[in-house]
Amino acid sequence: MTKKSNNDITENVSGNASRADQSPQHEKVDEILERLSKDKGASTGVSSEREVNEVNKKQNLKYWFWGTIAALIVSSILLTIMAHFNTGPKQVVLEESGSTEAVQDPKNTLPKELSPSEIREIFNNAYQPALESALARADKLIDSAYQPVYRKIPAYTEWHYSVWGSYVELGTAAVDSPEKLLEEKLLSGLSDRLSAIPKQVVLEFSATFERGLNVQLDDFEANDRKIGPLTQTILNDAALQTGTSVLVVVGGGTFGQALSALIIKKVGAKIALKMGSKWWLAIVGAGGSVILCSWAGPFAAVCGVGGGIATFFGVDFGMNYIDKIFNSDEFMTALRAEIDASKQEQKEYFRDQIEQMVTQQKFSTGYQLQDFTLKQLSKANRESVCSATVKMIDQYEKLQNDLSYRSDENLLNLLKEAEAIISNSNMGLFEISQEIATNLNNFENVISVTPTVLSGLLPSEHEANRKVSGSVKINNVNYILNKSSPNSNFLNVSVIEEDKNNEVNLTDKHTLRIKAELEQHLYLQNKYFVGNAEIERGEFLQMGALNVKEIRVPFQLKDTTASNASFPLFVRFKVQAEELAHLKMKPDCAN
Amino acid sequence: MNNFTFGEIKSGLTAILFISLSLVTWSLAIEITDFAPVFLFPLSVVIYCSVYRLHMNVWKAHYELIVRSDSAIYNLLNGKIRGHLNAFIFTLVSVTVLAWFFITAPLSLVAALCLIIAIFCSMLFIFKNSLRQHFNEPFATKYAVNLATILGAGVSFFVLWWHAWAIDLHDAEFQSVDLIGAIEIGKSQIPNPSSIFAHLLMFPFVFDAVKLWAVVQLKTYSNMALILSLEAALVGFLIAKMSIIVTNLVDEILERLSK
Repeated sequence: MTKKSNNDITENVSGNASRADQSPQHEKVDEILERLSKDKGASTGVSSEREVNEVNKKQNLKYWFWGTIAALIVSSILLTIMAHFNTGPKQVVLEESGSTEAVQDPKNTLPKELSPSEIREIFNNAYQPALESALARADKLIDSAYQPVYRKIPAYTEWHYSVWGSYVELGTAAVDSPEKLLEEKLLSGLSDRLSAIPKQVVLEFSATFERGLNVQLDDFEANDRKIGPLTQTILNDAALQTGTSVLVVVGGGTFGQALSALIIKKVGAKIALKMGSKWWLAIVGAGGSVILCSWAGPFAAVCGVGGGIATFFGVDFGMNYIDKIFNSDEFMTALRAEIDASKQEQKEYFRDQIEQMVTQQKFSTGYQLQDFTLKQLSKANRESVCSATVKMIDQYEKLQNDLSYRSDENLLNLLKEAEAIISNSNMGLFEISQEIATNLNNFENVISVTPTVLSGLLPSEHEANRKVSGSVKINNVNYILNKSSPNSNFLNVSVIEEDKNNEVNLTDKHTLRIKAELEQHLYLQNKYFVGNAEIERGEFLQMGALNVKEIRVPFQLKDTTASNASFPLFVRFKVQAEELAHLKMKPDCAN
Repeated sequence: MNNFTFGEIKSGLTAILFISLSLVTWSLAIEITDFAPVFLFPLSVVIYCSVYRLHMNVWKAHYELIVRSDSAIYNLLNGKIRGHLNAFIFTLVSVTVLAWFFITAPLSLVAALCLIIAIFCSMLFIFKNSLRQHFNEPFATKYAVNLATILGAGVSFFVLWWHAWAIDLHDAEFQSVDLIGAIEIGKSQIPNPSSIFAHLLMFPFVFDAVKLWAVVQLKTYSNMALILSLEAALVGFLIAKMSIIVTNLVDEILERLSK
């Protein structure tokens, strides 16, 4: 194919013009197109000077064109080499001191931001000691917050068993609540002391967390790794956010108040009981004095009232004294136990709060640290993240709670989904997916079953009201049945105690094979029955309640040639499923 | 493929070599020297000449057919000012955008784009030779350039869009910084910040960072991320157009040199 020159139009239109008898219009077109043709002159003949010029121009163009390309090639090679050797520190002479010092090239001193996985690792390493330190601090602070309460217990008991104390309690009970006195006498100040704890614990957590971060960052710097300002900002933000999270979660004041109320609720019941008996005893004592004054005739009423009052207080004093002797120690012990329990609850509550805070912090940090594509960003709004997370959590919890759903296939599907999210680094879903994947990878999906009882109705032809014994073999594990008498024709034979702890483990593809033998102890000749059944694990788990399953096993007489009809008996199983760990990294999608 | 010659393949490859060498040299040089823009000069000249020639050829064809040569306005309205202006604007925009694109785009993307553009530059000749059977010059070349540009730009646009949408990772920091922080990130991405061109380069980098920051802030509106990725892919049109007109000029130069 020959390349056509730019003056194609000239040739074409010229041809047309000649065919049209060279009309003035066509002459004009020819002229125009002739001017357009740049190389026209070459074909019509030019002077030798123009030819030389043209050749020179071509030579120049050639040199320039290929020369530029060659220069660019050489430059790019040189620049690549320069860039390669331009990484080490430069020896420069400092003008002021005149000393020679190794100075980093400005480009190489530019700090490099840490990768999300590096920062995530740093965070994880810093969280654990901070968590432990904060919890230890919380325990210590809670102990000291409760210390005054323990000190007040003897005094409060003394007062509680005094006549005055009991009347004050009685009066308060009549118009208000006796628990209010407990709050005043025993628990005063506890709420305030407890309310001050979160702030101190959070400070402890932040300080330890920050120390942990700094130690690791120092290690990085010691290995010539620079921490960029933005990484620093993220780390600082995380430490700062960590310092405020617990306060938000717990909220000032309600922490201590809630637990004081709990103690009052429990100990208050004892106080109320004592109040009730006091009223009763006093009334009985006063009533008794009226009977004793009956000899006084017309003065019996006055004697009765005066004696009644004296008797009332006398009986009351005596009863308080006796009550104190017999019950004060028990009351103190009960009080201590309740306070111990509430203190323990307090500590657990606190541990839970701090762990929640760390979880949320990890989640938020993981979200913050993740490099992202626009595609991920478009799906990373809170609604999408929450809906995707909720979907995964729902599936996970179904696996946790619904044994019939626990097939290897379902587990694998969720695991694949979680791993795909991890590898795609889907924004906001990384942490929860990682936790799900870790938990599922550590999960063996084993279910343990133990037969407990063989029950059912014997057919009338085998009804004998005689003892029955036997065994049940589940897969390869043998279980001996207790020897027991049927009530009428109803059979209910349990597995012996020693065998109740033997478990048969079923993985997903296992089949549950039941082989049972029964012996009916008759006067002359015993009868033997055998029963066999098989059931797939999945099918087995779909039956009955969560932890108790009953399988129908057809039985018939053993070693008989006569065709005899089978009859059903039922083997009841206790089912224990391997526990799938609870998720900690749930994002806060509720608000 | 009887309308496709070795000379034309050579022209296509030479043009791509010339463009990519210029831009690669520039992107290497900007990291270490203040003289980096020098390496963009030959490319600017070639782009300028390409646009100017293409524009003027078509303009002249129209002009000669429309205006009488004996008219008083014949020499007055020769279209050169518009041609130069056109070439200047296109050169300025395309060289600036491509220079920025080459220092930010990953090597794999650049290589993929070079390959795509090389294919469509070669296709320019197929189109040109086919269209010459139906159209006169310079219109056949003009239509061939337009057609190759549209197709090349379409494919490049898709590749660039997919890269911007699903592959290009943005710094996690954008999620936690405020506007000033985003500006700082943009500034931190400038190669060779001590260069005398650092202040000039700051604008596209900061602009890009602020755009991304805004989209992150508006992530509830998922379309914003899509719009940003589409916008980032627009550079594909510029790359295709520039490469194809440069190929056209290089072909003319090589043809002239071979005569």
